[in-house]
Amino acid sequence: MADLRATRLSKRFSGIRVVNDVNLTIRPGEVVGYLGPNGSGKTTTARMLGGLLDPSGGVVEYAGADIRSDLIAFHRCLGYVPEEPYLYPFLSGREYLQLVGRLRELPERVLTEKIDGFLRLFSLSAAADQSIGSYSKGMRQKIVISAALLHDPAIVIFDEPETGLDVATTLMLRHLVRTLAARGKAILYSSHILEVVERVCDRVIVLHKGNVVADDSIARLRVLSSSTSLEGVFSQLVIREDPESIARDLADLAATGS
Amino acid sequence: MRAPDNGSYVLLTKLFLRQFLENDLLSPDGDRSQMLAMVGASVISLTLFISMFTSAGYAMSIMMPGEAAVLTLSDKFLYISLAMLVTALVAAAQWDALAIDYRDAVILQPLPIRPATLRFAKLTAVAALGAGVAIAVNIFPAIIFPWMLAFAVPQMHAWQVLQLVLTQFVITVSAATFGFLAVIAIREWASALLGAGLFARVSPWIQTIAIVLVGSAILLLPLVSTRVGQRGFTGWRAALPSTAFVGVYESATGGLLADLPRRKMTGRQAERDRVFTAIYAERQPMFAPLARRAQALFGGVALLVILATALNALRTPSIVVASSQARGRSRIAALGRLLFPRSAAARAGFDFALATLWRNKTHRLTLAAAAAIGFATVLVALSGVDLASDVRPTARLLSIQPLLYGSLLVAFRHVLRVPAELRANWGIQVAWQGKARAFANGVQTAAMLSIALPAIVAVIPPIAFAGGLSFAAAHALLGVAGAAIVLDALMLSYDKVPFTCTYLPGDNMRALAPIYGLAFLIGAALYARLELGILTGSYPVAGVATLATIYLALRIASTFRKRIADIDFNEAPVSLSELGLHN
Repeated sequence: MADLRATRLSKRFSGIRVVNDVNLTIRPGEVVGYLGPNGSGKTTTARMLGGLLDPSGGVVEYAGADIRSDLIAFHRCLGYVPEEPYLYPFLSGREYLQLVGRLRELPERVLTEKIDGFLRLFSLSAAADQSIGSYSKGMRQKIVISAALLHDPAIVIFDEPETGLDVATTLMLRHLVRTLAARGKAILYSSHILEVVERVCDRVIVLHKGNVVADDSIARLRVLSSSTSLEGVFSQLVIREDPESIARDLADLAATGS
Repeated sequence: MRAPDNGSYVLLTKLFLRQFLENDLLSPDGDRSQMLAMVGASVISLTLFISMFTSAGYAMSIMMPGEAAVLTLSDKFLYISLAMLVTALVAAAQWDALAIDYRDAVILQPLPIRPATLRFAKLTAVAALGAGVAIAVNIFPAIIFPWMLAFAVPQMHAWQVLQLVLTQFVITVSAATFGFLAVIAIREWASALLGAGLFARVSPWIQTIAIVLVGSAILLLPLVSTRVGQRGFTGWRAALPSTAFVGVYESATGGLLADLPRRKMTGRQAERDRVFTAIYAERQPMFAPLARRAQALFGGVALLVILATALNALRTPSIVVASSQARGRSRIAALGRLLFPRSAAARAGFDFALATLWRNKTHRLTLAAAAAIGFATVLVALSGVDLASDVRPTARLLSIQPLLYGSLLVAFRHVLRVPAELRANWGIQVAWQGKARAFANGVQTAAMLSIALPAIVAVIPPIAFAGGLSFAAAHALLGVAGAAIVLDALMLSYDKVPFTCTYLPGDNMRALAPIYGLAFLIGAALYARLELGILTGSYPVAGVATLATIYLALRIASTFRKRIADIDFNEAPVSLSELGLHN
């Protein structure tokens, strides 16, 4: 088990800087929360950390080596749960997991056992042979999470994994993340849901307009900002406008002309 | 049904019209106006080209009225058939968008829209598509053909030319509407009779068969429409719907050309005119019954569409659970394990290829189009062969097999480059362990078993009829060898992950396509000759040795070819990279 480290990571899209000099380290057994408003660069960072997007500047290292020097070796250790669960709609859930498991060269017997187990634990057994095209977003998300964990990866990147999941599965996911960390996995957990991050993560990185504005344990951030909750810390760091006043304006606007 | 509310109706109609333009190759962010302009320009330039090409002969010759009356029958038959088939092909290609599908229902039903509005909007959009295609395909031929004819038959007055323009336009648009409605009738009745669940499972296959049949018919049209006037409307030609519409055309114009006043003619011209006038007079009594048949066909198909649409309107689209597919899928998975017991990556390639080739719409339609081209070339190759009297196996007969599997495998080579679902390729990208060769082997085996082998087996009966069962079996074995060689040759230059990486169209395909096409036809003919030599015992050892040498050479080349180690799954076209627009 080794650290995943990003140094001065930057990304520009058509000249527009989306992620700016981000430094972060995720250690084995640690869950790092990655917070930020919409468009702050969370998904872009997650994709660069997963080796799915080339950075415009900086480097991502795993076990001291640039991940791009041997991307396949890095991907052997990586589980990735993207923000949008795009899958092949014409494959069934079982077929998709078989495809991923075989590409990862898992032995057939082990793969079959794991797939059956994941499908059962995620209550997908009945739908296992239906086309993914007929799945709900939550069902697809469960398949994506299963695919990310099939090969027992050392690093797992969760990019807003609770999207579309029901309450029971969201609760189970929180426990799963903690259990994985307890077993030595390095985890990046990007989310909008502050309550989940507060409960699950050891450390939080807050991103605003592509820049890291905070990187510390939740307890220390609370002390520094004199807030009792992560929501208070987040509001101080990121939210410039008064949410209550914007909410009132929105309600007024909705009522206009009715 | 209550009257639809106008605002929603207009918006929904626009939405459904936009759906016709959406396809798997067009990016969700793609420029639809550009796409529309490209489709429009293609249709206009193609119809202009066909009209000018077929009518150019009239501008360069002088014809006697009787001669013109008979010879134009072939062109009228061509224009009517083309109008019918092109609109039928458009309808078959837009198969899923012709009715309110499950996706529409899920998105639109929760909104405060009356079901009647939804149905009216869909009907309007489908009618607009049919009318638009029918008019676009027929407008130029209707204008150009009669005016060019006026050069050849100068006795025609301007009002008579205008009468021909109007008749041609109305008849060809009616024929096009008939073709469009016929496909809708098939779809709607299949849906009504099979029920939502079964229809969802068989619908892709009905669509594929429709495209293969219509595509083959379009490709065979030049052959079928030659000298129709001289040959007459007998036998199978008499049964064609296009022939019935030619009857309407001739009944509407009332022998306009044949009855034109004769100018001063030479003796030879007078004789020619007398012969052709007699031929036309012989055909003339057939036109009224043919016209009545066309009316009955049109009315019948319209009635079928109305009834089936009304029947289907009573039902709400429902989710389809593909439970019966599970059994077939598990058998396929077992086949993969059997074929590749040691290579997980090859199993992954095999199963993924089988799934994407036959379940992905773009890939399935490409293969259907290739099958249509294959059938058409086979029928052209066999045009001079009389199977009833000439039962000897000939090179021409043996060429059926390589023509069929060859066209399918070329299409397979093309679809390798088309991503099955570009946005889903991240999953393969993350799981990719660099086993490109093993994965490609699995894909290649899937192509051999699901594409080449069925084509080879389908050809066994006619060959067995001509040369006996053992001859046909030996021919099938040689076919497997030939298909393996073709597959290896086609895969030699491929160094990406099949069905996964971004699609980068070839820069010079327009220039190279005719050369490839010609090479394919020559290759099939040469291979058939080689097979004939092997099977008839002229040079069996040398023939088999040649095949084995080619196969071994390709395998060696494939093994030693340097593969790209770091595959770029999201490679951008050179133009985007040069402009710095790709990230």
